[in-house]
Amino acid sequence: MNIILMFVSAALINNYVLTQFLGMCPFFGVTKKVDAAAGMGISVLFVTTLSSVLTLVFYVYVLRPLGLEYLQTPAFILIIASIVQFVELYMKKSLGSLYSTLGIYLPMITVNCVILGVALINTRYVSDEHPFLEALANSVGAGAGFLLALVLLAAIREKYENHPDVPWIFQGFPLALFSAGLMSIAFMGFQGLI
Amino acid sequence: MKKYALLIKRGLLDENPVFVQLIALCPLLAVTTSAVNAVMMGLSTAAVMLCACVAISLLRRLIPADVRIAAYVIIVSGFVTVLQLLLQAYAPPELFEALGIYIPLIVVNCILFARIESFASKNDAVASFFDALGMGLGFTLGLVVIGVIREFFGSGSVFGVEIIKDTSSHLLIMVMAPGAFFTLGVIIMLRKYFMLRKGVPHR
Amino acid sequence: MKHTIRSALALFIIAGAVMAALGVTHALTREAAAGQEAKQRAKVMGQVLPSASEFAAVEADNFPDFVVAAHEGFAGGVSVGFVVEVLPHGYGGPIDMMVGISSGEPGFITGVRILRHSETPGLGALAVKERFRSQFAGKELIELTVVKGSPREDEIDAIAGSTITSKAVTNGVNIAVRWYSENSERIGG
Repeated sequence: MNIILMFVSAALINNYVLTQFLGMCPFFGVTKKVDAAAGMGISVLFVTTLSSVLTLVFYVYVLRPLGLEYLQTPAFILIIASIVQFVELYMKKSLGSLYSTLGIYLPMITVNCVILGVALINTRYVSDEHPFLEALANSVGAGAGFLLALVLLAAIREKYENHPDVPWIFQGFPLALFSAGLMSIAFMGFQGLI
Repeated sequence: MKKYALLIKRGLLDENPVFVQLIALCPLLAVTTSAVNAVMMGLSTAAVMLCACVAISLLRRLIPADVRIAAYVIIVSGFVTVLQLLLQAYAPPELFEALGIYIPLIVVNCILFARIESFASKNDAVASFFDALGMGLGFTLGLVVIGVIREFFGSGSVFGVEIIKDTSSHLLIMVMAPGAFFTLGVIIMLRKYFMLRKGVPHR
Repeated sequence: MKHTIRSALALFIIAGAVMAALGVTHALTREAAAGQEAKQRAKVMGQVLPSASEFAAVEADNFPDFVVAAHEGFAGGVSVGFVVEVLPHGYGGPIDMMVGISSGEPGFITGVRILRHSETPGLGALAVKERFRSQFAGKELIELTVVKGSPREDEIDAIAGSTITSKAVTNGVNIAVRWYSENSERIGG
C-alpha cells in the first residue's frame, strides 16, 4: 500500500518537474514536439530506474559502512555517467531501432537534475524497512511524472506554437512558462488524493 | 583591463544566464521563494563556478580531450561537496536546510558546463576567472530579482523585512510552484517589450 | 593503447586529488558542523519550552522506541517541564523533532519544533511550518488524532497534500506525551 502511495506521490502529487523544478532544461528545451518529449521522457524514466537502484546499493553497502556519506555527490554523478555510457553502447549494438529514436537524448541525460535529484533523495529512505522497494517506487514514479509533464506541455505547445492569433509578446518562452504555471496549478489538485 | 570589465558586463547584462540565455532554471525557480535564499544560492553557485572554471582553465592542457567531460564532472562535484561541507559547518542551519538538495544539484547546473565547455577550457585562468565572476554575478542577479518579487507578493516582505502586514493580501501562489513560472514569464515578456522599443530584433 | 592509458591515468590522478581534498575538508569541518548542530539544538529547546532557562539531560537506561532523549527544564532552579526528542517515521524517513511539555497541573504542550526532516519540499515540508505546528501549543496531554478540516479539542487539522507528514508529526507528539505520562512521576517532574 505504502509503495503504491509513494509511486502516486512522486508521479502526481509531488511531481518532480512541476512542483520541485527538477529537469527544467529538457522541460522547456525538448517540448516543441510531442515525439521528442516522449523520447526524452522515456530515456529519463529508464535511466532513473536503473541508476537509482545502483546508486542506493553503492550508498548502503559502500559509502555508509565506510563513513564516506559526504562523497555521495561525486560518486553518484560518476555512476550515472557510466550507466548512460553503457546504455548508449548497448542500445547501439543490440537495439538499433530504439537507438535511432532515443539515441540523441542519452548524452543530455548525464547532466539531468531529475536523475541525480532522485538518487540523492533516495538515500534518505535507507533507514526504512524496504529501502530498495521504496526507492524503486519513488524513482519509477519520478520518471513517469517527468514523462507525463513533458508530453503534456509538448501537446499544449504544439497547438499554439507559431499560431497567428498568439500576440508576439507571448510567443515562445513566455507562453511555455505560463502553460507550465497553469499545469502546476492543475497538479495541485492531486493533493486531495492522499 | 578593459577586456576583463567587458567579460563581467557580458555575464551581468548582455548574456545574462537567467534573462537572456534562459538556462539553469531548476535552482532559479526552486529556491527563489525568498530573497535571502536567492542570494545564498546565487553566491554558492558563483563560488563553485569561479573555483571550477579557474581550476579547469589551469588544467586544460593536461586533461585529455576524450575523457574531458568525466574530468569536468569530477572536478565540479569536488568543489560542490567542499561547499556543502563548509555550509553545513558555518552557515545558519535554517538556510542550509532551505537550500537542501539544490546545493548538491549545482553539479548538474547547465551554466557551469556551458562556461567550462565554451570558455574555461579554451582561455587562460585570469580571463576564465572574470568570465565566471560575470556569469556568477549575473545568475545571482537573476535569482535575487525573482526572489524579491516572489517574496514581496507572496509573503509581503523583502529580505525578511515585513512590508505588508495584512496576511489576507498575500498572494500565496507566488511562493508556491506556479508563481515561479508566472514571475519568470512576465519578466521575459517585459524584456521582449523593451528590446522592441529600443529597436533590437528579438530572438 | 598508449593514449587510453594516458587518459585513464589523468582521470585517476584528478579523482585522487579531489578525494584527498574532500577528505581534508571533511576532517577540518567536522567539529564545526557538530558544534553548529549542538548550538541549534540548544536554541530549539528554549523555543519549545520558553519558560525554562536551563536544561539538564534526563538519565535513563533505555528510552522506548522513537524517543531519543529527554531534557528537564528549570527556571531559577525549579523544574518547569520537559523537552522530549522524538524521531517518528514520516513519508521520507525519520523526522527529527522536539516536543516541549509543561509539568504544571494539568500539564500541557508548550511547543513543537522540527529540526530535520526529509519530507518532500513544497508539500510534505508544509507540515513542518508554523501554521501546522502552532496547533499543538496549549493542547492538554491527551492522545491527538489527525482530521481533515474543523478539528475538535483532541484533533489536529491535517495539511492538504501532506496527510502522511501531518500524521507522523502528530504521532511524534503523542509518543512524547506518552513517555512523559509514564515517567514524570519517577523522575520527579
